[in-house]
Formats: sequence, structure tokens, C-alpha cells
Amino acid sequence: MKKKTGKFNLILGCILLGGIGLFALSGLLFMPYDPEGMDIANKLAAPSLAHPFGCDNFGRDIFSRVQSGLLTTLGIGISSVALGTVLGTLLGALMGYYAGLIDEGLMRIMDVLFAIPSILLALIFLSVFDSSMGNVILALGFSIVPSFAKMMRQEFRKQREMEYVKVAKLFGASDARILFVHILPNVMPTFINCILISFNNAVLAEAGMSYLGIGVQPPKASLGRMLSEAQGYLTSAPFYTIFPGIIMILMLFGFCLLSEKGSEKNA
Amino acid sequence: MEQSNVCEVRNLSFSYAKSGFGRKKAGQGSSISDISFSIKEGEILGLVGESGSGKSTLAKCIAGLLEPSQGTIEKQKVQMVFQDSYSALNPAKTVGWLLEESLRLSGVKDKEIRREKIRQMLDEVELEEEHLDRKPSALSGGQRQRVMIAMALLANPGLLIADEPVSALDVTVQKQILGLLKKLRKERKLAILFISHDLRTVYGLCDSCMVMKEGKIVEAGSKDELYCNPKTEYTRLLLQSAGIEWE
Ligand SMILES: Nc1ncnc2c1ncn2[C@@H]1O[C@H](COP(=O)(O)OP(=O)(O)O)[C@@H](O)[C@H]1O
Ligand SMILES: [Mg+2]
Repeated sequence: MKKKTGKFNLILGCILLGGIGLFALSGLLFMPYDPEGMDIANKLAAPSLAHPFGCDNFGRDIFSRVQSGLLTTLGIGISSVALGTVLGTLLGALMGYYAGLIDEGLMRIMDVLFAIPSILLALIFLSVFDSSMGNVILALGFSIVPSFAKMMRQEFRKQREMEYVKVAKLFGASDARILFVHILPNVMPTFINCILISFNNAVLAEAGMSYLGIGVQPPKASLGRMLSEAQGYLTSAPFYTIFPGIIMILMLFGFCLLSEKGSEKNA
Repeated sequence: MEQSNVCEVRNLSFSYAKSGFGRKKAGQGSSISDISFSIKEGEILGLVGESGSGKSTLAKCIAGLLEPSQGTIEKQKVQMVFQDSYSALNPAKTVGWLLEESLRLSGVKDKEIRREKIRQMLDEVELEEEHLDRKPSALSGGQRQRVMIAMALLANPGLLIADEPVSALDVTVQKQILGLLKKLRKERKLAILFISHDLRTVYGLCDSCMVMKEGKIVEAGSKDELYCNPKTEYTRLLLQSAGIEWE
């Protein structure tokens, strides 16, 4: 029974993310309008054949903006998660594999970082530096590191005691090779789960930051940015909120379904 | 080191440090102490003792996995076969990858040469090509132990330490693996340190034997000396409980 729901989740998650992926791809290939091109005549125009998702308060085509916003959000999500994954795995592996001072020291730093909400860290970072796309990615990427490193540390700590690690050592494998060639494939379920969860967190954090006005700067579109701009028109032009909102929810839901699958496999 | 010795251990001591809050206090915890012996080329030396007597600890010291606190070890290249083949083989890798890794780590860079050596090794340890694509979990205990032995031999050691290699296997498979070890000794002149808590297994295999108790070698000698004319009370007790008669 449990196995079946797991499989169902996996399939539904893949379908959702596949759909989102195709939509993003369509944005790369073709956008019906310039997502930043204003046309005051169409201000807050309802969905029609010419503008299937309607137009926003500047008369910009919402369909094109959702396409471009999704690309921005995915771009930020993927780059920051990539950064967080590399650093988090590296730190987690080092802390887990080498007990003692390295671990103790790094762990205390992680604990401090962990105690501060990651969004707050990102906020501080972005208020010190300007909110360029690169800085947003850096801020989000670093904010992922502590939780990622903590989870990977636990896994590497467990694996370190396994006999196959001693065997690898005996055969003369270097520490780096033991960590990333011998051990890493054995912690794949957790690794993938970490990535999926981090991606969700990054997308949500990006939305939150845009909402607070420190994320992606106008006129550039991101899903979070659009949601924050749309809130003033929630009753007069609900389609403005609904379309970017739906895309975002479907994407987050898709990642959730997959990461659930991962943790089930883990248990 | 004498010409024909592959390993010479002198006055070896080791103790597991008891650690609390990261601080290490020497001299506490279980240990082995003042162990001396040597193994000749092509010799099978048995090491028996009840579990917890420090056999595996001694093996790991010789293999270089533990740093002895005292004494010296002169040795040729040492490889080891572990009791629990299930945890000793990386569960995420295929048998083929594991065998190749052994060659890669001993510096065989050419892929074709590695393939060829693995093919020969499969014959030697009586495994089939089809096993190469399998994960260790898809093999029987006996097959996994053969994989371990193959991995060890591919690294071309002078001394093979077999730490209770058959204790987890059933009797018929035990016999096959022991037969394989004998064959390897004969064909390769491989020296083997064979560790077991079972005196019967050791008797069938070794040329000479050491008895270990609480981290010390209490008796050592040729097979006949030890099994037919045990000198210490402890050895007699072990023989008795294993159901072996002596004169
Ligand atoms: N990693 C370790 N840390 C501390 N004590 C250990 C460790 N491994 C084994 N010991 C202890 O050392 C003693 C000898 O163990 P071991 O060498 O495994 O014995 P054997 O192989 O003869 O059964 C035992 O008392 C065991 O509890
Ligand atoms: Mg043991």
C-alpha cells in the first residue's frame, strides 16, 4: 500500500515537473510579447485570445512575464542550489569523515548559522551588498549550506564506520576518493532529498525576498516578484495573482512529491 | 628481515584509547601487547583465540589500519579479507567496479590490462563473468568472500590476512573457500595469516599456529606441537572445548 502511494507520488511529481520544464522551455524558444514591454492601453486587461493570462498594471503580457519569471526563478533556484550543494556536501563530508577539531569547529559555526533563520542571513547579506542577480544567488546559496551540511554530515558519519571504507583505505584510496567515489554513492537518497528540499526553500526564499523588495529588481520578472506586485490587484484583477501563483505552487508541489519519495526510500 | 620472511613483527603493542570529550587517555581500553612472530613465504600461520582476544586488532595493526603504540612491523605488501563480506564490499558498486578499483589503486592504468587481469582472476577464484555486473548484495556469502579474495589478490600482496573469512559461511561453502586458500598458497606461494576462533578450521589449513588470549600470544608452535602436545592449560581448554583429542 505504502509502496503504491510512493510510486504514485513519484509519477505525479515527474509529470508536474515535466510540465513546468516544458513551460520553461517554451519561454526559451518563444515568448508572444516582450515581458518588459508596456502597453498602457491594455492595463489590467482580462485574459483574452491575444493575452491568454491577461495583462498587468503596466499592460505587460502576463503569459510572457510568467514564462520569463519562471526562467528567472529556475535560474536563481538551480544556481543557488548548485552552490549550496557543492559547499554543503564538501563541508558535510569533511565534518562527518574527520572527527575532532575540524568537525567541532565547523559544527559550532553551523550551529550559530543554523540558529539564525536563513532568510534573515540572506536579508543581511543583500542589505549590505546590492540586490544584483549574482548576489541574490550567493545569498540563497550560502543560506542553504548549514542545513545541507548538517544532513550530509550525519550520513558521512554513519558511512565512515562501515567496513568497506576501511577496505578502500587498505587498498590505498586517497581520502578525497573515499569521500566522493566510495561513500557518496551510498548516501544518494539523502543527497537527492537535500537537493530537492533546498530547491524548494530557495524558490520560497526568493519569493519572500522579492516580496520584501530585496530580491529580483523591477522591471525584471520572477514568480515571487510578480506575486508581490499583484497583491494590490487581488480583487480587481485576480488573474494577475492566479497564473504566476499556480505555476509556483505546481512546481513546489512537484518537488515535494519527489522529495517525499526520497525520504520513504530512506526509511 | 630474513630473506624468506614476508612479515616480521617485534614486540608489538596497541591499545584502543578511551576517549571522552575528544580527549584521549592512553593505557586504557582493550589492548594487545608485546607480540612477536614472523611469517615465511608460502606459509599459512593460524591465529586462534576466543572472540575479544584481540585477533582482529592485531590483524589491523599488521595491515596498517591501526597505528601500533610500540614495536615494529617489517612487511611486504599486505592485503586483508574480512569476516563480514557483506559490509566489507561497497554496496553501491558492482563486483566488476570493485575488482577494477583494486587494480586502479595499485597503479594499473591501462583499461585493457585491467580487463585481462580480472578475467584471469575470475578463473582463479572460480567466479563467472556474469557476476561482474552484479552488486555484492546479489551474491551468496561464499561468492562475496571469493570477490574479497579476488580484490585482495589483484593488489598483488606478499601476505594475505584472512580474518575469520569462513565464520559466517555454512560448512560446505567453508570447505570450498578453505580449498581455494590452500590452492592459492600452493600456486602463488602466498603467505596467509589465517584467523579463526575455531581450532578445527585452523587445523585443516595451517602449518603452524599461535594461540591468543587477552591480547597476548600464550602459545605458538608448529601444528603438530600445538595440537598434539599443547603446553599451556589455556590451549588444552580450547582444544577440549573444540572436541579435539591430544595425547
Ligand atoms: N574500535 C574499537 N574501539 C575500542 N575497543 C575496541 C575496538 N575494536 C575492538 N575493541 C575491543 O578490543 C578487544 C579485542 O577486539 P578484537 O580485536 O575485535 O577481538 P577478536 O577479533 O579476537 O574477536 C575487544 O575487547 C573489543 O571490545
Ligand atoms: Mg575479530
